[in-house]
Amino acid sequence: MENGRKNIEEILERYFEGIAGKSDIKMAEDYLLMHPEYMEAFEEKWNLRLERQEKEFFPEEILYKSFSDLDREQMLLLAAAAAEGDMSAEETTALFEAINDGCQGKITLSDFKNLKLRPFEEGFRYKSRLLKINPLTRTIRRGVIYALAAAAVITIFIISAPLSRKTADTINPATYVAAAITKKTETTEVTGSRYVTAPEPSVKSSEKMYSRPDTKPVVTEPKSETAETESVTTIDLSEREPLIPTIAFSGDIRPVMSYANVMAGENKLLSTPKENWIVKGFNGAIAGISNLRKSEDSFEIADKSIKEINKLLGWNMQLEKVAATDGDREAITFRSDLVSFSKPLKKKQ
Amino acid sequence: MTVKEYNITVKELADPLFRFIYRSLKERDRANDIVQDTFEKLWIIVAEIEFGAVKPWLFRTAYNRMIDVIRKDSRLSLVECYDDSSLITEDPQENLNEVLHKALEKLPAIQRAVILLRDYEGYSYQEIASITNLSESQVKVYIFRGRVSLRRYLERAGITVN
Repeated sequence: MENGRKNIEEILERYFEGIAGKSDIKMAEDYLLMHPEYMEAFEEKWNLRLERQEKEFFPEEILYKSFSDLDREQMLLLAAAAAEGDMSAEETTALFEAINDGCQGKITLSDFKNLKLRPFEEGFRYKSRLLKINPLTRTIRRGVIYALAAAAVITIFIISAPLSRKTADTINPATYVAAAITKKTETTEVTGSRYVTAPEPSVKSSEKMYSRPDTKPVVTEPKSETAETESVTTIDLSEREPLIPTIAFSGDIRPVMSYANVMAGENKLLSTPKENWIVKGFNGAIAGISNLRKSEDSFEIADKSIKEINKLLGWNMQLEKVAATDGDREAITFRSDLVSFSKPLKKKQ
Repeated sequence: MTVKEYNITVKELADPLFRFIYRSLKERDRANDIVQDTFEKLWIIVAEIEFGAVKPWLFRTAYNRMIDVIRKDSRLSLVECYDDSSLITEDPQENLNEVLHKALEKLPAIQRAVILLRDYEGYSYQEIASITNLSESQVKVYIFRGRVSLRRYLERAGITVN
């Protein structure tokens, strides 16, 4: 056993000295692996540990820095940090003392604290587009809009009715004809489906208008739009007889005014329903209101107006006068697809 | 988040969000578009997002959208060089806040954005970092540099802040 220890000590000595053979190296490493507690003893014995050197190589003060060593740019950045509250009170005081002591120029904490931006009073203009409304609210809003629109249209009708009637009373049938002739100064000949422009008559357009209630002008009857045969519409101006000519067109141009209607004093517009449906509707509404005005009350005016609006716009609104539950008391009920309401009337004295 | 909470969000945050984007981007129409897009995106995920988390989400989404716009537009730059020679105002007596905003327009977009988030909304460095996908240290550096640039602008314009 003693021999064995001596033997391993010798092997380890040779191992640490670096003169051990291959078999000795392997044996020494295996032994140290199996007995790590001997490693420390061997390290101590062979003085393998590094000792801390107490000797100072250079004065460490040269490594220390203070605020005064900073340049102006760094000072400004630190001042900004201080203003943001990123430095302690002591650090901030020391920084600004150094700034004041040095030649960095005047920098104060308020310089940066006052650099805070304040928002202007400006906002997002389209906020209402972003808001979401539930279906009930949407329905109510639409109902209110329709009701207001209906009320506005009714008001317009009521206001415009007397004006329209006044206008209609003062209309001179000849005015329409003059306007038509002025617009179309050329006499049009219809030849089959082809238009031929006749020479300009020597008289001015305004001279074509004469008043002759007792005689009829010599004109041909208006041609139909689909005339296939050759026919010519002529106006005899040779004797400058009083004349209210008929303007007849074919093809794509529709007649604007009928001679017969003009002579009869009627102001009917003969345009197609497609083109003038709204004019007809308004005329009808106005005529209806005018007739009612003499004898009917405001309820009937409104009722008539609503019916005309329904005709014009295809809506389904109804205005009814119904007897209320308390006998003679009446109520007016308005119904539409979206909204309906009822308004009781005051008792008649 | 409910529809009611969404509407509250629109009422309370549309204006600050617009101000942030408009002041960062300097273009009103684009700012309007970005705000609208952002709220449309919010509406898509309205059921998934918590009411408390909606503000950072809105600012982050709008900021990312703004960065996309800046990258697509060659006229705008994220990190353009700061040129303080163009900042000098002719009238040093202008309102300080207006002068600061004028100076802000000359800053790089990132500095502008972080300063606006800090001053307008009072966000912390961490929150700004989360919105702008920067580190906290980067946010600090951008803010400090931005402040120094603003101060230099005032200095050159002959405006005394204190």
